[in-house]
Amino acid sequence: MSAIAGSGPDARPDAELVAAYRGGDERAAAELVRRHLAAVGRFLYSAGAGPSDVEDLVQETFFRAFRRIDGWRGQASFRSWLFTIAGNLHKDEYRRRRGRQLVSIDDRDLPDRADPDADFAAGEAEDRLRKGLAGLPRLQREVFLLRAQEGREYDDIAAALGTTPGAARVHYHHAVKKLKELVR
Amino acid sequence: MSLCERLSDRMPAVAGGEAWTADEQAHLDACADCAAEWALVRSAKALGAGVAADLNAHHVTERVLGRLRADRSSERTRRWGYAFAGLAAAAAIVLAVSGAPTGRASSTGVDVAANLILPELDSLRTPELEALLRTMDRQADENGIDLAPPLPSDLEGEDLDGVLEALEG
Repeated sequence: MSAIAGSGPDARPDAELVAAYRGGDERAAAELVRRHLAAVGRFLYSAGAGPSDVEDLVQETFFRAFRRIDGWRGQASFRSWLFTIAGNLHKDEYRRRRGRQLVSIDDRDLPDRADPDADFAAGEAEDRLRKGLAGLPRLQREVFLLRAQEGREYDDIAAALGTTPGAARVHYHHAVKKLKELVR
Repeated sequence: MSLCERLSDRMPAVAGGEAWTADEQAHLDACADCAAEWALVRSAKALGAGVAADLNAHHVTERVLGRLRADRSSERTRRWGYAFAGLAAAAAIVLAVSGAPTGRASSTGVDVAANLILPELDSLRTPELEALLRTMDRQADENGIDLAPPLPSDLEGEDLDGVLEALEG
C-alpha cells in the first residue's frame, strides 16, 4: 500500500487506467480516485449531501464503481459515469432518511474569508443554491451540475444519464429557470 | 440561435476559464436574464470547493482498495463454498452409484466418476482441485466412506464376472 501512497500523478487517460485496473493494477485505481475525488465530492455536496457525509459517500461511490468497473464501457466519460453512481447513492441516502432534506443551514461550505459580512452573504447565497438544487427533479439537478459545474457537453451528459442530448438541453434550461426563481 | 442562447451555451466554458468576447460581455451587461443565469453558473462552479479541498485522496484510496480486497476475498470464499457443495453432491452420487449392485464392469465407481460432468470444477486450477480432493478424502475418512475404486478382490459374484468379461473382451 505504501507504494500506492507514494506514487505521483499518472498522465494516462481514464480509459487506460480503467483497463490497467481491470488487469489488477491498484495504482491505476489510486490515480482514478486522485483525479476524480474532488469533482465527485463537489457534486455530492451540491446535490445536498452534508459536509460530514461527503467523504463516506465519495468512498462508497468509488467502491461501487470499481466493483462493477465492467459497467463502464466508455460511452460517457468516466467522471460522468461516476456522477451517475454518486447520484444513485445520494438518492438511496435520501430515501434511507425517509425524505428528510439533507441540506441544513449548518451544513454550509463556508468560504474562508476575512470579511464576516461577505462570509455570511456568500453562505446565504450558497445555502439558497443548494436548497434550490435539492428541490429540483433528479435529472434536472444532475444535468445542471454536469453542465454548469463540470462544463460537460450535452452528448456526454446524455450518454451518462441515459437520455438524448436534446432532452439534456431541455432539462438544463428547466433547471436554470427554476433556480433563477428559487435563488433570486 | 439567439445571442441569449449562445451566451447560455458558452457560460460553462467561461466559468472554466475562457473569456467573453466584447459582444458577449456587452450583451451580458445589458441583459438581466443572462446576467442572472451567469451568476447561477458561477455560483454552481464554486459550490463545494471547500468540502472538496478537505477530502483526503490517500485516505479514501486506502479505504476503497481495502474494501475491494475484502470483497474479492469473501467472493472467493463463497465460490469455494459453492464448488465444495457441488463436489460433495457429486461425490454422494458417485458413492451411491458405485455402491449399487449392477453386475456390469462399466458401472464401477471409477467409470462413473470419470463420466460425471462437474461444471463447478471447470474454473478450478490444479492446486485448488488438489486441495478440494484432499478435503474430500478427509471428509470421507471421518465418515468411514471408502473413496478408492473397488479392486477385483473386493468384487463378488456377478460384479466379478462382469469385470472379467470386460477384461477378456
